[in-house]
Amino acid sequence: MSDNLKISRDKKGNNKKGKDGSTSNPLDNLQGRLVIILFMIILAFAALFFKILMLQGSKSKEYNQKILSQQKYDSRDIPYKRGDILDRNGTYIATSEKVYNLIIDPKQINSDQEDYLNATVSILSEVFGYSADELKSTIAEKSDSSYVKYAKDISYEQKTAFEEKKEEYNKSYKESKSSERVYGIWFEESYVRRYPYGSSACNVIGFANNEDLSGNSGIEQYYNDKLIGVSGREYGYLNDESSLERVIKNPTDGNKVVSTIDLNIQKIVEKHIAEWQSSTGSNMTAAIVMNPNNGEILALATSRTFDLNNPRDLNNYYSPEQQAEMDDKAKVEALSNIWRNYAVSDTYEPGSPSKVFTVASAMEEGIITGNESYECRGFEEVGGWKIRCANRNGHGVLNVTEALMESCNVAMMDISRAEGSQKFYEYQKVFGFGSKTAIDLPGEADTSGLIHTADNASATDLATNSFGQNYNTTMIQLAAAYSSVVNGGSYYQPHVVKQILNSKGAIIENIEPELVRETVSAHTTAFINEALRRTVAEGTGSAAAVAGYDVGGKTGTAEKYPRGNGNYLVSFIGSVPAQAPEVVCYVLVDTPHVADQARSAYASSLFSKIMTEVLPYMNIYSNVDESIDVSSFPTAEGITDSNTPKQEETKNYSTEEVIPNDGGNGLPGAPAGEGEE
Amino acid sequence: MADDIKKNKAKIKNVAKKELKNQAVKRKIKVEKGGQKKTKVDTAKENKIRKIGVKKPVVNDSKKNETKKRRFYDYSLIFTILFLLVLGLIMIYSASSYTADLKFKNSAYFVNKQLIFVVAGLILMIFVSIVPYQVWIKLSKLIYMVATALVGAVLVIGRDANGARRWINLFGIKFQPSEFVKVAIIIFSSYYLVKYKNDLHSTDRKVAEKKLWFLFGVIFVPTVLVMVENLSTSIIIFLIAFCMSFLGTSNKRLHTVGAIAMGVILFFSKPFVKFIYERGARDYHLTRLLVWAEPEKFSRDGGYQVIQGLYAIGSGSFFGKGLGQGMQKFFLPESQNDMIFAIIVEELGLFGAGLIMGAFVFLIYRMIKISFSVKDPEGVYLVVGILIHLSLQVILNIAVVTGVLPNTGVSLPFISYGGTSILVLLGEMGIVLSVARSIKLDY
Repeated sequence: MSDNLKISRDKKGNNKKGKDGSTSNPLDNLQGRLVIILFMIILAFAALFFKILMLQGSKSKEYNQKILSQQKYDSRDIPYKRGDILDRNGTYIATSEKVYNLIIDPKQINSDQEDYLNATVSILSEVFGYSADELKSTIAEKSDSSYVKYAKDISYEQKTAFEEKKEEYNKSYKESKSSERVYGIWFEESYVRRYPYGSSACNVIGFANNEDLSGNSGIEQYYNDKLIGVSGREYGYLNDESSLERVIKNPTDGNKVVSTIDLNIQKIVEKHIAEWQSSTGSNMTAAIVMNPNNGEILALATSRTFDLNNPRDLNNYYSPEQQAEMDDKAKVEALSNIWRNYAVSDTYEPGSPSKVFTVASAMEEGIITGNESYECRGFEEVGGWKIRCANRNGHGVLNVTEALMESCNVAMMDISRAEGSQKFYEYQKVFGFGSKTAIDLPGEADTSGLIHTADNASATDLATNSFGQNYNTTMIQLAAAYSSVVNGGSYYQPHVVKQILNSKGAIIENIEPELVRETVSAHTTAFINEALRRTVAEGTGSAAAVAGYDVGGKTGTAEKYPRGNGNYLVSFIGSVPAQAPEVVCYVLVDTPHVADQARSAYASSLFSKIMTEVLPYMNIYSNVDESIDVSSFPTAEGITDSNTPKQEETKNYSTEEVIPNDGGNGLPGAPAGEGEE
Repeated sequence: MADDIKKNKAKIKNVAKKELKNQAVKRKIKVEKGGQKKTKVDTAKENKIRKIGVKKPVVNDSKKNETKKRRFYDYSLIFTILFLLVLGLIMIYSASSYTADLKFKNSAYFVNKQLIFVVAGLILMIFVSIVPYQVWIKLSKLIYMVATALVGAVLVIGRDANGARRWINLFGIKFQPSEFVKVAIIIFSSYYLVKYKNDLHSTDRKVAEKKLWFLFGVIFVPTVLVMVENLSTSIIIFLIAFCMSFLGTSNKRLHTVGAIAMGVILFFSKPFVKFIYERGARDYHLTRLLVWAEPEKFSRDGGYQVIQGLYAIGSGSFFGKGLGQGMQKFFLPESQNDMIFAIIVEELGLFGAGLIMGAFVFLIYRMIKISFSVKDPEGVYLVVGILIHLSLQVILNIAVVTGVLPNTGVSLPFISYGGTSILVLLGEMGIVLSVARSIKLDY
């Protein structure tokens, strides 16, 4: 600065000398002095630019690190609330509960240990019962940290209790002029996922991990995108008044999902499955209850349940010793097996219920009118195979209705042969076999490789397919296809979610029933419904009857692979009321734990028990004349050893017999081993 | 908003291009002018070049050629100002959008408000540029008195903002009267220095110093009134008057002593502040000085802002983190105000800092050219006064942001968020343009 002034003095001196008067030329003087000021301005600019350069050069790395570190320190995520899952009546079947994590800030406490440490530790051990020594050692160990998550899942009540105590303590410290304070403790919001009904509907709902809140199986997985929200963020900074200011960007909570499941129906179904499992038992028992007129699943239960609140618990399936032997991989395998939704992910040979589709397709194509009659001699030879009917002695002459009622394999083979494989497999496609139903649940099995096509099906394949052997389906495929046949021909995509609500409860999306295609005409439906009604009223499905109701349905008994071991998969699919169904229920029992497994009545009686409770609940009223003697219906066909003549009679045609391929009949390979009702 | 930014970016590019062109042309002219100044030859060749749209100030003989002259309007100055204003708007959006979204549910809240002031300021600038600047000189005493009265009034009826009373609410619009004092002082000094130029340039030291002391006395009143609540503005007001009076006198003793005194104060202020703090002095201004003296120690008392500013500057590399990519705006309170330069360096890097400082240097250069081309001494003082004001604001702002000087709340001209500052500065630019218009161009 002084240098500049020296220069200016010289300049001024020159100016003075130049002028001989009492004043110098003001403008010349100004310009000279202006140069000095300009010089200083430019000098200042250059110096400041240099200063910036220095700051960037020398401390760039250090400052960048500091910025990143305080980013962590002063801001935090605020968790969003994962959306609830409700049943169709608004009952919460999955919900997120706000809890708190107890955070200790050792750095703050250590900033003035004398004043903060004892007061803070003593209040923590008083309110929460933590060990004072442990707290002190944690604070000492992590003295540089500002964030120690000391405890999780602290309830709102506990949190408020602590905060009240804290205020009280600090007040009394203040009054007693003590400099001690409770300091450096805060609570962080967090959510835990709770399932109030435990294992109820576990296969449909699925569960969400508490750690990353991502869904696993069921609706939790399939609708994860809808259920998650956006985390909020809190930024803290000190303003120039030196007080801490916080800006909060609130989280967006996830949407609520309303399921089509009716928890009451679900519980009825689960109750009867559990009863059956505990009394007789089976490898797998599963049931689907759905509305055939819109594809809504009302209940879906299997005997393979798990507690949604504790999904990783293996105790129900493995003894502690077994668990101890399992390595991590085995455990993961065991768990994924338990979480597997049988009704959607597993395939099997459907057996007799598929006769409904054989008849329906043939009638739809005009191959049969319903008045045709077939002669069953107990077997039929197709492509060199001798394929037997359920009744070894043969059913004799039957019409189409009777063929369904008595579940005659021979009649089905005749019908399918008349129809031809082209048409038959075309219809299999129309009914959705071999393709996914696109149900809104994860893990649906792909059955496209498990069915035949017109190109690769031999005459034997066609014959066995006609009564439900030699190809695989899933439960949901069969239930959806059956619904379309009995409802007048509308194939609705089965679904378990009907609405998406926002976190405030306003509807943001209605999931309308999606009509995928028309399968059969009303005429066919009427014929089938009547035949199915008679199947239950007079035929093989008598065990499925529900007192006071017109029930339509079809039984199924399929011998499992490997043939000849006496292992069967029995099933019953039924619709009520038979002529205009409002509800369809499909019950499946895989390998019942009995000596004589080949009795569909295990499934039909389970159907009857379930429907006896569900129908009144659904306000579906009897349309059967009350005067009919309900007691005349066989109630426990195939199970009891009752010797009443009536039941004997019934037994004659309803007992399902399957002739295993023991090689004794001189026929090679598997198909001959198939026996059907 | 992203679209807006893109548009603005494009605008900047255009402006920058134009500016470069102008600079290029001007460089040519400068060479010519340098030659002409010495030889005072007016050739036809030069006139041809001037047709490109750049003006040729004529130093003498304007009366004779008056009919042939056209008025000079300094477009390169206007383009540079527009460039700074647009860049300012973009940076305000970048720095404030997050906070604005949280507080006002509108991420463009601050930008929109600033845009209104920018448009109003540009209209004011054009208006002032048309009004002959002699009007302000004639009204200088009145302007001075009104401004002084306003800063007096603000102490009584002013509104609190950030712990200091700086705002006054007039007809529903709040403004900072201290900003007007700066203009008032520039206008008054121009008037005074010209009116008493003979006395001020007297070889008799006593005569000159008497007039200088009187001027200081006049300046002293508003300076002290402003100082009560706004130390930094009062320093700027004083420095404007100090520099202008330095230019307007042949006396050297007073200013030499003054400059040395200021240097000494600056040098000893850090130890002094620490000393009186240890003696127990506590005050709003003192806190800020303490923070400057020892930012790490007083980080909880506002040093936080300084440190966060330093982090921002230090972390921006040559090209910065990219527009909108900075992280420090979450930590720098009201980063769209005085600390915006830190955000600029963080996001646009040394390059952005150089661009802005270069633009200011160019503005200063244009004003110097105007002042050298104007014959009327009052016009010269006005332009030079405004030049000094602008430079001081830029230097002090950047010095604060880089931690060289204490955090005093000086805004960066044309860029920082703040309505009064923009209006006053664009008004001043109007005066510069008005002075420039008095330069006659010959065809």
